[in-house]
Formats: sequence, structure tokens, C-alpha cells
Amino acid sequence: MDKPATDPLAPIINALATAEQILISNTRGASASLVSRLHYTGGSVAQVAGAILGLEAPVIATGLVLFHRFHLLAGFLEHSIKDTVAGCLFIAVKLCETPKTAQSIAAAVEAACEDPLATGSKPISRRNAKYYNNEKLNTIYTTELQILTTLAFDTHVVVPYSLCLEYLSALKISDVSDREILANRAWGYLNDSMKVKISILHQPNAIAVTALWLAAREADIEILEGERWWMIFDVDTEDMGHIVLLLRECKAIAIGERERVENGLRCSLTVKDVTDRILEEANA
Amino acid sequence: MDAKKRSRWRDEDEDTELMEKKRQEKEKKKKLKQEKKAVAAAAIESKTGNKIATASQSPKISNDARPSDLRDSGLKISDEGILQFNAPLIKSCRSVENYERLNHIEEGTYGVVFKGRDLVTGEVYALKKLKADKNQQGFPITSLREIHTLQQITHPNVVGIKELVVGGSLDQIYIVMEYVDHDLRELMQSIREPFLQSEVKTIMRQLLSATQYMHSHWIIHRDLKTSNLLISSGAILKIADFGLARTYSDPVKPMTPLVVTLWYRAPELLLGAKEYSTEIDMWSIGCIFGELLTNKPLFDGKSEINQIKKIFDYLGYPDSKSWSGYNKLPHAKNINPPKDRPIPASLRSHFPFLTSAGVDLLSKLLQLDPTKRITASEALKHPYFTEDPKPKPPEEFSPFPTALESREHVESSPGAPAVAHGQGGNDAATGLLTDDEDEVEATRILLASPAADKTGLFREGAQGGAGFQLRFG
Repeated sequence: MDKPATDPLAPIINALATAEQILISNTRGASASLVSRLHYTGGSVAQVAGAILGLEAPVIATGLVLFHRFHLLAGFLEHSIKDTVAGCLFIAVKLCETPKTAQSIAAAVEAACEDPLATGSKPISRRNAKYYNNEKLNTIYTTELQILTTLAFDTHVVVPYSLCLEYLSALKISDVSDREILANRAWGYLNDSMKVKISILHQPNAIAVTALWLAAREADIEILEGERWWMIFDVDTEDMGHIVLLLRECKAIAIGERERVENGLRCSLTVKDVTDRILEEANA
Repeated sequence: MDAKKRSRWRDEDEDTELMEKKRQEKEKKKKLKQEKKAVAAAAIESKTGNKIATASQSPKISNDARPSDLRDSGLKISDEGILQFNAPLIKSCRSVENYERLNHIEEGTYGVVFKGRDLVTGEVYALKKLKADKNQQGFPITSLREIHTLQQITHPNVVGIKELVVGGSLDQIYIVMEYVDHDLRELMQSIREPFLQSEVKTIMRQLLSATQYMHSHWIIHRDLKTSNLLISSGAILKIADFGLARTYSDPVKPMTPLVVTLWYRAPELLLGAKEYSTEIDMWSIGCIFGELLTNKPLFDGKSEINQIKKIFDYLGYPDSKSWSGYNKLPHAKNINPPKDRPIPASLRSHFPFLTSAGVDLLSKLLQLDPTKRITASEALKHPYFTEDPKPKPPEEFSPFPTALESREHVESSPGAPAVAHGQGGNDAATGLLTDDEDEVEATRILLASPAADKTGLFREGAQGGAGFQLRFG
């Protein structure tokens, strides 16, 4: 059988978007900037819903990598963010062997949609999972299959969290409190990076290293002064630069979207919301 | 493998060189093209106000020293920030219409299998239709595990997965797999006579080599049996059906003991262990070894209890001395060794024609105490495989009967536990209950065994672990 030999690096390599795929994904009705915002919105909803479900960050991130991959290939005008987030989380809990029922995921996503950007403006009310009968759950089951077939059942997802901690310990930072600060801040950057398209543009090792680099810079902690230490982890300086930029863009989107919500505008969660948003942009 | 074959022929070596040059040229062109595309993409993104990295925007560190490993493996990065890794593509399923349906192979408990020909390459594959039952928590977790496992594994003795294709509607999903003519069980029934020692060695070595590979990749198969071992007409063995396979961790996490088809199920599983590991596959391999030698299943129990009885009658009843931790197993205290039991015959007496090295290997595979059981890599180094008769090269096997002839002889054999397959039972009702939550169900099934009250193996009225009471008439 004509099958390429397994890449020895496969365990740490993710499937990535091609330039052409990015180009196409930005021309499906929504502008490139809106597409990035919608990716962010999905990322935020998933993390809020994941927190309600008590999922660990790597599990939510697994769902989010699937979410970004799916929307690279499928438009926001055909599939509502609310549904695809639920579908991706539903697949992620199965992949990570952290079982949750479709009912509880549907309920958590529904609740998360009340405050999708986690502004804390509204208290999130928990939904009763029993409320979701089979008919209502059909959406989540259908979306799950749509996601799996759209992604050719390639569910191999590597998230950067454990890599990041491994790198941190490999760097042998002597000061314990420095180590702790770095771990916490890097973790935060990883969570941010998962909200936007970074995981379909860069490999997990580059994301992990950049999170550490940013954490060190922010906390004013020197990691191997004067050395390009990220090279040990096979990370190109150029990649890091791009990830830093994407994270900055993520922050700008976060502020912009939050302002919209504070001004009483709806967060774009459904196909109708996205249509309205496109019209709104066209009129502006 | 290709490279090795080619090197036998000098002029082909030169051809390869030429081809390599051409390939490199092509790559260069491709890279250029991709860079152009990336530039275009960047231009478009910048027009729409979407920022994209350029070299000048990166942190101010010169770029001369290059990281080695990833780059050597063919990693490519365009100058414009959209990155060309040696990464797999994100792509969608193709349609089943890319295959011409040839004939129906079988309709098993877990789906329909048919033979299909790739319309472009003309190659023949086995297409297995997946059951997607919407009422059982969506796409079955067992199928997800199976697909994920098969996609991760590339080994000559594991059945290859080509792709997944979809039919007209979303619930028509097919796994496209390597087509292999026979399964070992069906083949053994049609040849009617046991394999030669040299042939058994070849089969066992292939089985152990694939198992070693799986175990080193943190995968336990959990359903090794002769009917899950496919064998091509060229005598190449392929492990199939990863529907029960799981990744394991060290230290182990609790998993359901309700795995592996009864006849091949390790004693610790029969006794309800939830913390188990790769040793359970090694027990199954021991059972398969015995079956290959005699052409008969080694322990063909009719129920869980009957199965334990058969194993213990054959190998002796364990105690906490011979098997440390035995007393802690959930069902161990219910085992009541018969008082007038005969001393079990030696393994040697069951296999008079097996060399002492062969008997030694079998006894190490069939260790009741899982910690004493031989591992796949140890087994591969066992003298049994180096002593005479040597393993027979696969190409020297005499031709097998055609699949059609042999299929007529197939008798029914038991299947893997339905619960673990996500069909019926507690685990399946939600499809998502953790592996460790189905103890009650496991107990229920264990007790419902028809032979339970006849064997007298369990003490009367003994108290079980999960708050149930055994009542035997």
C-alpha cells in the first residue's frame, strides 16, 4: 500500500492551513478582518463554555484547533458559531477521554452565549441539561458529523500546553518564583493564542516558545541572556515574530468586540448575526 | 523498503539520482510559486487591514543561524509570514463515488464491508461502513479511537488505512482500508491441519513485531484474536479491528475490564481488574500461539466463569503467593478452587511436538500474574525464533485456498464484549461514560452467565464488591 512512512515528528506536528486556503476562507462573504473576529468570538465562547463544563485548558484547546480548522474550510454564513463550537467541544471531550454528554455541552454553550466574551456583565445562569431532548440534540450530532467529514476525520491535534511546560523545565530557570511567574503568564498567552487562528498557522512548538518569550519579556525575567534559546526548540525567530503579531491582533480584536457589546450591540454568534454584521460593515 | 530494493540494481540507482535532481528542481519551482501566493495573500490581507508579519516586523534578532532538525525534514517558510511547513494538509473527505463497488464481503455486527476499486489507481480496497447512530451520543467514541489509532500507526503488520470517504448523506461514512484476502481464523478452519512449526514462527514473529510497535506507541489493542488477524496470500500478517484499542498511560488509569473476546481474555480481566496494561494483549497472543499450534482455540469458555475455570484447570489455581495482588482483584474472593481438583498437566504434555524453547515461550505468555508475563520485545528475542526450524520466509508458504472456498467453512466464534464496543449496556446508553463507571454492568453480565450456577466455582452466597449478592441454587 502506498503510504508514506510515519514522520518521526508526527506526534508534535499539526496539520496547517496553506496560503491558498487562508485566501479562500477570507472570501466567503465576510471580510478578512471579520473572519478573524468571528474566529475570536468562537474561541472565546468555547473557553467560557469549557470553563462551565470544568474542562481543562488542553481539552478546550483541542476543540478550538478543530474549530479553526473547520472554519478554514467552511464558511460562517453556512454554519453558526454556536453550533460549531458545541460540535468541536463534543468531539474534543471524546478525543481527550474526558467524557461529557451532548446534553451538558449544549447546555454549557447555550449558557456561555449569554456572556460570550466573558465580560462579567451578566451572571451566567446554568442550564438544566435534561431540557435538551433528542430533537434539540440533533443539531449537535449533525454538526459533529459535518466537522468530522469536513476535516477528513483527521483528529490528530497537538496543543502547546505540555510542550510549553516541558520547555520551561528544560530551560532550568533557577529561581522558583520566576519559574512560577513564567508558567502562569505563558499559560495565559497560550489560552489567548487558542482563541484566534494561530494554531492553524503555526506548529505547537513555536506557539509554546513564543508564549514563554512573551511571558519572560513581560515579567522582565532573563532566559539565557543573549542567547537565541528558542532555536533549541526548532523555532524560527520569524515564526515567533508572526505569532507575537497575531497575539497583538487578538488583543485588538478582544478590545474591539468588547466595546461593541458594551455599546449594546450583539455578539456575532449565529448565521443571522453574521449576516447582520456584514450588512452593518457595508453601511459603515 | 523501496530504497533497499532499488539498490540491488545499479542502473536503477542512477535513475534514482536523476529523479532526485528533477524532484529538487520541481521543489524549487513549487517553493517559488508558494512564495508568490503568500505575497499575494499578504497583499490582500494588508488591503483589508489585516496585519501580517514581515521580516522587518519580527523581533530584532538576526536570522543567520538556522535550526536544524525541522528544516532538514523539508520544512519550508515563505518570507511573508504565511508558513509552509512540512505539515499535513487540512482537507475534507472525498466521496465514496471515487470507488467502484466490487462485491460484498460481509455484514458483521459492527457494519458492512465491501470490496471497492479506486477509479483512478485501480487498486482494490476494503470499504467498511461505519454505523453512526444519532441516539447514542453521536459519532461513537470507539470509532473515533479506531480511526485515530489506525491513522497514527504505520507498520507492515498492521492493516493500513487509506482515507475516510462519505456517501450521499452524512451518516454514510466508510473507512477505506487495505484489502487483505484472509483472516487467520477462517484460514485455519479451511486448511484443517495445523501450520508447520516454521510457519507458526513466521506468523508469531509478525504478530509480535506489530504488537511491540503498538505498545511502544502507547496503544493497547484489547481485542487480539485469530479472526482479527488478517493474512494476505503472500503470508503477510496484518492486525485489524482497532475498535477496542485505547491509548494507555504509565501509571495506568482505570479502564473497563470488559474487553477482549472471551476466549482470549486475560485472567486479570476476567477477575475484574480495571488497572491493566499491555500484558492483556500478551495473554491474547499466548492463546493465539496455542491455537496456531493445534488449530483449536486454547480456552473456549462458554461464559466468563467457565472461562476462568478452563484457564485455572489448565494452568493451576493462583494464590497471593504465585500472583502478588491476586487477592485484591474484585472477583478473586469469589473463586472457590474445587477440593478434588487434579494437579494440572504440564504445558509440555499438551504440546508434545513443540520444542522446549517453544514451551518456554508459551508458558511465559500464559503467565497468570500479568507482572510476570513476557513483553512483546522480550518475546521477539526469545530463542524459539532462532532455533531450528527457522521461521519460513513468507514467500515460501504454500498458496492459501481462495477466500471464497475457505469462507464456506467458517464457524461462528464469539465476539468482543458488546458493552465495550458501545452497543447496548450501560457504557453505550450514553456512549460516554468513563471506562471505569461500568463496573456494575460488568458484574451484571458476569453473573448472568448461563454456566454460573453449574460450575460451583464461586462460593455460595459470597459477597461481591459492588453491593450485589450471589445466589446459586
